[in-house]
Amino acid sequence: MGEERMDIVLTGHEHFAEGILSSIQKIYGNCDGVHAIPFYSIDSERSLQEKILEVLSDNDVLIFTDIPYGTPFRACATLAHYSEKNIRVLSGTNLAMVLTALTKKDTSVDMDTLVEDCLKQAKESILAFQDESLLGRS
Amino acid sequence: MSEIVLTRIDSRLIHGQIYSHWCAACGCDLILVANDETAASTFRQGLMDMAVPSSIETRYWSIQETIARFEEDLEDHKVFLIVDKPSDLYQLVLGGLKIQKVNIGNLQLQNGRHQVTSSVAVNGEDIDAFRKLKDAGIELEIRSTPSSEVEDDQLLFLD
Repeated sequence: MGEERMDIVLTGHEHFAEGILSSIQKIYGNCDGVHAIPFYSIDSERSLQEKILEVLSDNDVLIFTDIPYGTPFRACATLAHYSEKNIRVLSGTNLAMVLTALTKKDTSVDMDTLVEDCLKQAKESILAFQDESLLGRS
Repeated sequence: MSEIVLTRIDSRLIHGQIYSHWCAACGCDLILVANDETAASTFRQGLMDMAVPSSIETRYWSIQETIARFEEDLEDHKVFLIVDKPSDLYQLVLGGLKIQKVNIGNLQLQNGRHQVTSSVAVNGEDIDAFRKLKDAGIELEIRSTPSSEVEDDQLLFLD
């Protein structure tokens, strides 16, 4: 033992979660312990929560959702609120965010630090390409 | 005197899509969620409030509270009324709320419902309530976002 491990859940509207998962599998490789759970327009908060609970082990849980305050986010926030497990819910998921979690999840980093790192990397990965800066012009 | 500028049936009540699309489309300044469960849960209300811009007020009232308070306690607001099922809306109509048209956005596949469109599912109780609403002269519009197509309301009566 000694290793801190956690479950990672990706969820969002329609094929968002599978899309993120297929990208990170390509970029990162082995994605054991990462679960892509889609939320379809006919799904309920309850049905999404049930699908998520089905895949969880006894580990702590980090959930990545697509848009803030959307239904998948709300379903997961509600799950976290009422669960005795340590469940964290992030929103506005991008690849940098998930990759940060993947690279650090099996290290001894604690959950609070991991969440902070994910948010930091996510924000830093949002940028606009500027031709001028690349060519050294001001 | 308040005016209902939009009435919507949506299992999710207030959520991301609601504020961004529908508030702009209907010009409301207040969202009234008429729902017994939400009226009883400050946690659910908090989650919903986070999805609403600060310029728009919210109220979370039970069905009975909505009937009792609508005329008196909502002064001069443009109200976006949201319920999570048609039978609740029919209760409000019986209770005196004036509604000409209802937008049906999303009824989730639960409570023994069967799916009739990509985002609407109905059970016997829903079908019965939709029939009563229609008989009361209320237009039923199936449309999930302001920019999506209106679907045939006959789909609501498929059993």
